[in-house]
Parts: sequence; C-alpha cells; structure tokens
Amino acid sequence: MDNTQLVKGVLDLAVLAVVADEDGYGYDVVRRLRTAGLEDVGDASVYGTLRRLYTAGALTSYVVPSDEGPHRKYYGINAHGRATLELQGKTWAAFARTMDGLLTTAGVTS
Amino acid sequence: MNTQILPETAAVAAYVQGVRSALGDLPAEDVDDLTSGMEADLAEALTEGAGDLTTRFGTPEAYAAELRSAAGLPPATTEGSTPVTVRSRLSATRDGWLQRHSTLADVGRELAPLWWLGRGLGAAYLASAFFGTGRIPAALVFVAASLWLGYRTHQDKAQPTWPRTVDRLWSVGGLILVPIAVWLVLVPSAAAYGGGSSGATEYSAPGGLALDGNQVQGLYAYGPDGKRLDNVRLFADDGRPITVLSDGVPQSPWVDQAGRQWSNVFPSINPYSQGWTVRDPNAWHPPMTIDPLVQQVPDQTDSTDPSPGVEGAPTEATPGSTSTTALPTSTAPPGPTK
Repeated sequence: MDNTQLVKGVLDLAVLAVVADEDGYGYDVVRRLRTAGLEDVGDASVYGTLRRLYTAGALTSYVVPSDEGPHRKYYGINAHGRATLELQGKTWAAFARTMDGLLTTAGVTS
Repeated sequence: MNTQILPETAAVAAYVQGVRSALGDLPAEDVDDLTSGMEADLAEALTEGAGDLTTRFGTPEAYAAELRSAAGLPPATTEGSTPVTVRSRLSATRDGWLQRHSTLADVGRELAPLWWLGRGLGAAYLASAFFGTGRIPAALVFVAASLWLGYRTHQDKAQPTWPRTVDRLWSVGGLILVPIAVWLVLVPSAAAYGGGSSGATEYSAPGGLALDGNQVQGLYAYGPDGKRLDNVRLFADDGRPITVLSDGVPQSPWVDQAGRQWSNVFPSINPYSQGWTVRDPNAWHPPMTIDPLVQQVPDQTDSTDPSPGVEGAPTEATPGSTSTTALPTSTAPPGPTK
C-alpha cells in the first residue's frame, strides 16, 4: 500500500502532535516528522497543513528574524489546537485498535 | 551550515518566485502566508540532502499544487487539469464583477442619504402641489420620514419589515416622480400648466376671478330694485378693474367714447354668454328680476320728497334711483386697463 495515502489522512494529527511538543518552523516540522518515522511526508504538504491549521485557529504563528539570510516563520499550538489534538488522537486510537483487531483476527501480527 | 546557504540563495529565490507565480490567482495575503519563511526552509533543506531544488521538491508548479491541496485551497484556475464547472465559472464571474464594482457600491452607499433627502423633497413638493399643504412643513415631515426609513432599512438588513417595503416603494416612486418634480420646478411654463405657483405671477397677468376656488366665468349685477343692471363696471378694493376669464380667455374690452378700453364691463361677452343671454344650457340663467332690496329708493335721491307713494310706485321711482345709486362714477377709481 502506498504510504503517502495513509500519511495524508493523519497529517493534521501528526503535525499537531509535533508542534504540541515544541514550536517549530516549516522545515523543522518536516524534519521532526521524518525523524519520527514518516519518511514519505512531502515538504509542501506539511507547509500547507501548517497554514490550514493556522487558518482554522488551531495554531499560532510568529516570524523570527534571522541574522544571516531570510526570516523564519514559527508555528505553535494553542488551546484550540490542543483540544483538536486530543479529540483526533482519541479518534485515531480507536481507529487503530479497530484495525489491530481486524488484523489480529486475520492472523496478521502487528 | 550557514556558510553553505549563500551560494544557493539565488536558486532558492528563483524557486520561491516560481511557486508564488503558480499561486498567483490566489489573494496576495494567501500567497504571502503560504510562502513566508519558505526561502529559509528550502535553503536549510538543501544543506541536509543531495540534489538540487527540483529533484528534491519537484517543479515549483507541482510544489505549489501540493501546497494548495494541503492548505485546503482550490486548485489553480489557470491550469486546465481540473474541469471548470459552469457553476464555478459563474461564481467566479460574479465575484470578479463584485470586486470590480465594490468601489461603485461604496460610493452608492455613501450617497444614499442624499437620495433619501431628494426623494423626501420630491414627495413634499408633490404634496404641496396637489394638496396645497405648506411647502416647509411638508418638506420637514417628508424628509424626516425618508431619512428614518432609509437609515432603518439599511442598518437592519436582515429584517423584512414594513419600513423596508415602504422604503423600496418610495425609492421606486421617487425614481419616477422626482425627475417630474424637478422638471416642473425648472420649467416655468410647465409650472403654469401643472398648477405650480413658482413663476406663476408672470403668467397670471390676464387676471381672473375665483369663487371658492372655482373660476368665475361671468358677473351679473342687479340694482336695489331687483332689476338687471347693464354695462356695470366693477373694481376691486385697490382700484384694479375686476375681470373674469371664460375658458381662460379674457372678455373683449369695451371701448368708451374717449377711446379708452374697459375690460371690467358686465355682463360680459364671452364663450358662455352674450350679455344676459347664457349659451350654456347647464349654466345658471340669470332671471329678469330678483327681489328688490329696498322700497324707499326715492328717499335717497330726493330727501325733500316725502314718501307717500312707497307702496304704489316702485316702478316710477326706480328709473331715477338707478342713475344715482349706481356705482359712484364720480369717485371712480383709476381708469381703464392698459
């Protein structure tokens, strides 16, 4: 199965989880997602997701000037974002348990 | 790693510019939001892996498309890859029209109070012209009502109440009637026909006599004895000769022996009557005689004469009396007209 399709479905949740840990700029978030194991995540997809979450009011944003070169745009989570993260996290956990159950019944060990 | 960014700066800037132009159909705010900080991120990404920007991230167009998709924005409308439905085309046309005409609509909103004032004045003018109300009070009432309706309707757009209905009707009526009112005011001849009083002095010169608001077409005079008086000349209290208009036409003036013209001689000769003969069958026909006013007419003329024949001789007394009790020709005011 193409992993990118799975990633797309949970990208909101993954980005929220990463930013909830610590504020980050675009590429920083991409790197942390990849380090966590989501190697197939696309740069532009993460940037677009950050922007969409920000527009939806789940993230805050601020610009940090750089001594050398262009400025960086940081994103941080807010209360609304944390609530969203918790709700979507529970949904994901229930979904994952369901899938585990299905796969266990089918004899596939996760 | 900062030292490694510098050689790539130009390429990164070009790539970001490519992405921005691929997002060009979006509002500038969205484009800035999506690409803000992008140069720093791309430059940093370049330091960590192999390959140039295009091999790492794809073409700027592809990158922009992925940005749009992830950000929940519509795909580029300039690209033919996505089918454009009739509905989206229509809504895009409408949005474009609204954007182009937003300033026009703003101007219209700001000029709205002027229109409310105008339609109020128009209604006041019509009310004063047709119902004879005072112009100032009518203007105050109608302008206040118009402003109130306008402000109420435009502040409270959500409620379809009766003020909104009245406001709309008034505006529609005003669009039709205000130009007519302006025309009546500005064109004097139109004002004369329309009954407007502005400039009417110039056109009311021929005169005329009104009784209870109706034009008097002729006058008939009777002496104290109740008999018809012929060729009576009548004057108003300021000495002006009284004239009548018959169908708007002044009667033909009499010319006296001195050659002077008299337009106030009654009974008049006009389209409705020729002296005492009334042509209009529906009109009032003056009788030959009416009840006498006084019996002792001779008393006034001849004080030395007692009144033995009061009862018996009204016919004999009247011929003498008419000449002396008629209108005071000796004190006749100014003379003929024109």
